Amino acid sequence: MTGVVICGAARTSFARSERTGREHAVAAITAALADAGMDWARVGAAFGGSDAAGLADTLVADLGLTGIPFVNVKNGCATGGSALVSAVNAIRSGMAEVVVAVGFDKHPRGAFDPRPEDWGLDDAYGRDGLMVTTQFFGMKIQRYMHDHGITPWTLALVAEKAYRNGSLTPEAWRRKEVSADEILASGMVNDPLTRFMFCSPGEGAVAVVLCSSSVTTRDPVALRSAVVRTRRAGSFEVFSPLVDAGPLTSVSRDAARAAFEQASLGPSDVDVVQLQDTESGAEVMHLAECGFCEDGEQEKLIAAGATEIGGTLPVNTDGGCIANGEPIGASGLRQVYEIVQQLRGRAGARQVPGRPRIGFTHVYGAPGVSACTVLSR
Amino acid sequence: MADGTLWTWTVQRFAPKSPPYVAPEGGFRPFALGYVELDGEGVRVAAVLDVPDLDDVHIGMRLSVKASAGVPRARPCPANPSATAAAEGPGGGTAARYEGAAAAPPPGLSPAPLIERVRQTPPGPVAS
Repeated sequence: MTGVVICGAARTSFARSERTGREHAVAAITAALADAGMDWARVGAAFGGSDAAGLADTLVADLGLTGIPFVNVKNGCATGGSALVSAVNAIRSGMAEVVVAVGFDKHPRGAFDPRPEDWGLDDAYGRDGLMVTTQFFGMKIQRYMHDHGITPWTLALVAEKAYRNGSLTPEAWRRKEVSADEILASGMVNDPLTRFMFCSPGEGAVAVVLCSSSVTTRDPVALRSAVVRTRRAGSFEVFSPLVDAGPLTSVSRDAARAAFEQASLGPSDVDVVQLQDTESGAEVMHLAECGFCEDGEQEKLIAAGATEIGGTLPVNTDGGCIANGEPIGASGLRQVYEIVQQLRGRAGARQVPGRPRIGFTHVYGAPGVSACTVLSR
Repeated sequence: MADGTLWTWTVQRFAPKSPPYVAPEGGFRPFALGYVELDGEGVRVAAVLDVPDLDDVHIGMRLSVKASAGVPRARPCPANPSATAAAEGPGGGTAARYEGAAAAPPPGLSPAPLIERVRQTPPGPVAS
């Protein structure tokens, strides 16, 4: 099978700005092409999208009218992952040799207003105050903490690390360190999660240039696998009127396992990790769901600093969603960008020591979708 | 009505956006919600928890779930303190305190229609 490499990657600053989502996207694609040492005319196909900032195919007006197929992707949190899978397939099928994948978004403060009817739910869910996404995150980690002995202090440590890593990442939105004590005291949103444990809707764009490994490029990172999965029966998701009896299934577990299988690698081979951290609890649970530890081991691992930049398993070295915010369309590709920079040794102040060779990314979102990649140097 | 055990919970500490939220008379007050694992079936049903004290909510507490005009409501099971005392968590044995709150048992409603009602509203797909 044709090998696929990422030969260029770029992101914009996710800090609040005057830029539109489209302007973010054009800037990211232009910078990713410059990183690859290619121009737009070389690109044979493009895939991308945003959740709330317009259609990606309109970007050709700014990038150049070269006549290539540009496919819009709208897949919620998995938009970046789906664009990436499409790009890989385009290269493997011979559709194009050089392909761009882009994700961008711009959400106003307090965005995301889910409506019961859009979820096939009775109006009562909204009327009674249950159309609130943060409730789900609180309830999932609440049960997990009960079953596996995770404490609120661990949740605070996860967020503390996110802000610390964000302070080392020039393009992050939240760049001030916040202590675990401040995080615990920041006000309860949905027990056991406090305000500073959550990410916020944000803005930004990320683009990657992919090509066949047969193309000579200057600093390639191999994309060993890219997988998108939707949930199976028996999972626990946001806005579910009921949860099936028995042990829970996990779409993240399914996607991660498939990504490792396709890459012929396992979690123990990985040197640097990006996990969906919509809030602190998500990072804790996804460590286990993606196979990096057993349920409950996080309590000791995190206290011992294992997930810090200098730890045995660095997680979310750029501060994750908590420090970068969540522009939905861009979030998954931000993770890929960060791993590419880490594997190239270009991550600056947040560089993982010891020349990391293998990286992993994981996105999870409503209504039970996950995208994972394995990358190697 | 169906009895079960609290599987997980949270407290809504801030007023949800209106619309769609309709605050009760007298304005928003923090409320508990969770999933109740029904005895026998094992299915977990989302419900608003009508409990007298938010600090007493804990996994394992015994609750009765009842269909309502809105989201199903759950309240502490009347009587049977021994069952509650056996439940996990430091809050076990609070049933006696709840008895007053649950004094008027809601009109009979077999578990079947409740489950049916909930099953008729499956989660649907949406972005993000």
